[in-house]
Amino acid sequence: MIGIINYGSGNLSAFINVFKSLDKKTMIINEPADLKFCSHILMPGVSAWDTTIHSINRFKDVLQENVYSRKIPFLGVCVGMQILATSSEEGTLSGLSWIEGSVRKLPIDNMPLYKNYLGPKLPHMGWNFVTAVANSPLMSRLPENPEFYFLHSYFFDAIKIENIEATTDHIGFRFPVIIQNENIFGVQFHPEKSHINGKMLLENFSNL
Amino acid sequence: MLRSRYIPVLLIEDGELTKTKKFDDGIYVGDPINAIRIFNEKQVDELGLFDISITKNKSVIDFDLLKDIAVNANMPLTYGGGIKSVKEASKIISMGFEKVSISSAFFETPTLINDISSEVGAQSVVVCIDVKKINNEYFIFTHRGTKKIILSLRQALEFIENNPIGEVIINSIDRDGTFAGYDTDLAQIIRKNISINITMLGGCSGLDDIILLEKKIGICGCAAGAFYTFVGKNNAVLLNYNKPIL
Repeated sequence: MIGIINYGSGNLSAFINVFKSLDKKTMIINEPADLKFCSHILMPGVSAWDTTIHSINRFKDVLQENVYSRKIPFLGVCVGMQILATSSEEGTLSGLSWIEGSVRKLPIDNMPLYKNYLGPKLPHMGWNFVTAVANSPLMSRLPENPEFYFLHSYFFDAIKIENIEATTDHIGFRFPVIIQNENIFGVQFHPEKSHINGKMLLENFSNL
Repeated sequence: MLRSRYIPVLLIEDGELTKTKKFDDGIYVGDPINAIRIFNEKQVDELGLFDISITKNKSVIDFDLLKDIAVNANMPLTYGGGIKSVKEASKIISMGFEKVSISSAFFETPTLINDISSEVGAQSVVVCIDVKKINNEYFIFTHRGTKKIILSLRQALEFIENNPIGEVIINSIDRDGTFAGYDTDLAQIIRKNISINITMLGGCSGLDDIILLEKKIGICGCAAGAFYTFVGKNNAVLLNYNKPIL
């Protein structure tokens, strides 16, 4: 049973649709206590940092217990990934600190390409190619450099290279888009809105 | 590197899909949920949905319909039409829309954008402006092309640039539903004055228009209503999706 945390933000139905098409059972987690029924936990996110941290506060202790002690697979999506960090430039509240790093605004204006770049700068919005490390569990069976849908201005600046499972490039700046620490995963893009590639990634997660 | 986004745009009027020409009354082109299912299968980059009955009829946002749409959609969604408060915007985002689009309310209550942005994040905030060319000068209209705003296009763009907004959709009233091609002069003015994501809408008749637009302003959003709604000489209604090959 894949538990999808409902903290009042994020597109739960898109995830449910994808898992349904994969014949995987899902459960919307409205109360922290419901997490005990889950084999996997998914944390969606479409919101600003402080709004998200504030709304997940009541899930924090139970999440800690399930993800750290029971070691069940956890996937944070977009802001749901960013909250794994310690802090964010987008807000003032503290993150979960599950993966070492902080959330920063994409520093693309420092890039040499930036000056003559015609296209969109921030937010990083649209479809971009993702490059994974070898043997990435979430990217297994996907084509090389698959496309995913992004919508964000901040990125997870991971401290340890071994936590970085995949990256992408925006105006010459390469940054982590899949991070991992044992059973804890985060993806910056939206797999639930990335058609077939996203579906395969979510299937990989559900098979962990 | 990002690529351009190719975006079908659907207009909703009283719960049904309509397609206008130069902002006229429009003709019936189908059922929204059926359209969502078709565009799911076609794996579209994004979908734009605008309820054009709201500001005209002073009615309220059809949240039941939006919920139905979000539950059925597997692609990124933008909704615009009648959003006047932070509460409405964040309700739509929490239903599963990636972005909310503000038009008339942006010019009526400029502080609204700040409040919505701090709630849902600037990346999810879109401003859509309807532009009409009169005597070789561009003007912005609201309320389905009936009310001209006091700011000039340049003033409005500067105002947009200085607010926490992730994307601006430029809708050409003159080109709407005409298949006359994108207004690339307008697109170039926008590109010069705006650093956020630009999406052009109005006039697209095919991939050549899309390629020309990208040639003029680089990577952008290429949105189209009629092009993705009609096929053939007689404009038969048949939702379709086609984009340039990378």
